[in-house]
Amino acid sequence: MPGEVIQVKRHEKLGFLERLYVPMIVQGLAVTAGHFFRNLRGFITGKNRTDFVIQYPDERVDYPDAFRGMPVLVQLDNGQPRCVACGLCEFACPTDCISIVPGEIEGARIERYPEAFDIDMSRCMFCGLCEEACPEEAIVMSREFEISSYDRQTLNYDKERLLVPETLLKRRLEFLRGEYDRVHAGGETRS
Amino acid sequence: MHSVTGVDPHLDIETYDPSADLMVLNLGPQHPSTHGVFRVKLYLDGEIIIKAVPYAGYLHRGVEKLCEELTFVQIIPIVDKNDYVSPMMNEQAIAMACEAMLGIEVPPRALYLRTIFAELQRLASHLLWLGTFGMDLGGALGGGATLFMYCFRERETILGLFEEVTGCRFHYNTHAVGGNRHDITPKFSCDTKTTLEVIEKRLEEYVQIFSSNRIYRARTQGIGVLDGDLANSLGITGPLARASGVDHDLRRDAPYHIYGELDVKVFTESAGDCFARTLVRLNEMYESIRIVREIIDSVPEGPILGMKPGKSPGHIKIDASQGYSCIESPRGELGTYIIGGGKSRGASAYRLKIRSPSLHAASCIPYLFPGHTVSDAVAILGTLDPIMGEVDR
Ligand code: SF4
Ligand code: SF4
Repeated sequence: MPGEVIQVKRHEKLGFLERLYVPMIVQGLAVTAGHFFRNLRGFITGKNRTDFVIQYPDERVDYPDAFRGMPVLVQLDNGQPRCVACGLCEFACPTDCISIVPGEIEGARIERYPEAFDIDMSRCMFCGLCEEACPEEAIVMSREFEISSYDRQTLNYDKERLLVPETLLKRRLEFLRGEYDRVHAGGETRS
Repeated sequence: MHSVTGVDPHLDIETYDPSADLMVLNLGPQHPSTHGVFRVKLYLDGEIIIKAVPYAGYLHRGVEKLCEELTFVQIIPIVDKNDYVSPMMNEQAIAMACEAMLGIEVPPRALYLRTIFAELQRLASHLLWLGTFGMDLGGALGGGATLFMYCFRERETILGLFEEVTGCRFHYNTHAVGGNRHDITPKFSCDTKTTLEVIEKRLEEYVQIFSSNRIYRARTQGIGVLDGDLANSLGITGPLARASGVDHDLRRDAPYHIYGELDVKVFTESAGDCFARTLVRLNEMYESIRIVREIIDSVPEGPILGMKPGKSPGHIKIDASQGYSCIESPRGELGTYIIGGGKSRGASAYRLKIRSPSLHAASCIPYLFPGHTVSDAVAILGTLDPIMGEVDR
């Protein structure tokens, strides 16, 4: 039957043992001590480790494939960004942190390119909307997130600092392609 | 002590002896147990609170106004930051309001995912509450931060599950108007089951320390009694209201997602004190575990987005109409009211209002605090569990 209402049971009266102060304290301590010794045993023997702490800069967890770090630009083998300066990511960004100055090359295969491409990382919230908007797979979320700095100016990333060779972004690109292949309603796949 | 209707607690300071020396104490804005930046001005007679005046607004970021500037696609990662303890719920509330106004059908797989996410998020949110509440009570629960650490460890595993799917531990940006963005993996289903197993076992342990601990009982039983009528008149919903005997749960009363097919148990308590609120939340945690277990294996195959994905941020347009939709967040009824037809030919809202349960929860502070000691005030505030990001928006 949907929507069953259950009146929560409430043991208003405590039992005799529970009313005694010391046994309950001992019971509480037994729980915490149990945790402590279980963790200690795992830590020493290295088997069935139950301690949860990662010794961060030395030890790192491997983030899942879906991990979204800071947005970066994909660099082609010739050192140029794949970006064609269409401005869609700039338009999609909720925080207005991307600014692009488009430029044109006469006669090249890709004619338009970004003359300047800045992302203000102090405003970026790693939402991934720019990646989703990009028709060229030119801006992707990397696995980089440790970008703290002492001064705001350094958080303003320009094109040179944003470019990352395609080979280093393989994991993300493969993940993205897997996502694109997913069938959406009406049998359409996103190209 | 204090009456439900008739006397406005904001005004009746004059009914107390004005010549008595009342001490004024500010609880907050940065007191660790105020859960955010929130100030309560306490008028004390000795250690007894005579009057409490809450001041909200320290965390006001103008989210609703910002949502009128941005398009419907762009506001989803923004509203994540409202109730920063359960971001999934905020996204779902906005997405559902837009879908209801546009008449978009969400595919069944996405509905299942949303239900799973919502229940896991409820579990995570209640775990965080349990941990911080244990810390608020201090020594009563095995010395301050112990329970807090335990609960954060459990919560962390749930956030790890979300990270597996959405790529972020928090502020997921995983819901879109019309469905979901990210699909679950087989690893997710498998991990979820093991995680729930562990959490259920551990919860058992914590409940044991809790429920029979005499100090804990003394600090919660009969403290901060919220009357059912007062809860109704202040618009309080969620576990708070249910602990006061108000039988109201949107998952059952106005089923959304796939709750209509599930048999959601609604837990109520009649006492309305801090202990009752604890019990209701603990039971809800078990209920969330049960719901996720029930549906995790029966997620249907199929698409997760009910419309053609659009490239441009303005591809969702709502004309000048209005709509309201609400969901049951871990704190109560989280509603979104939208008037369409805003900027860029309806791509953003003309007006967007978020009905946040925390604001209503915080509004009962002037009624609950008087007559209690300062240390009880901390316990009461802990069980009200208002999230300041949501109170101030
Ligand atoms: S991740 Fe989001 S906030 Fe950051 S640049 Fe991309 S769209 Fe803008
Ligand atoms: S959307 Fe892609 S191609 Fe267009 S400007 Fe942005 S990064 Fe370049």
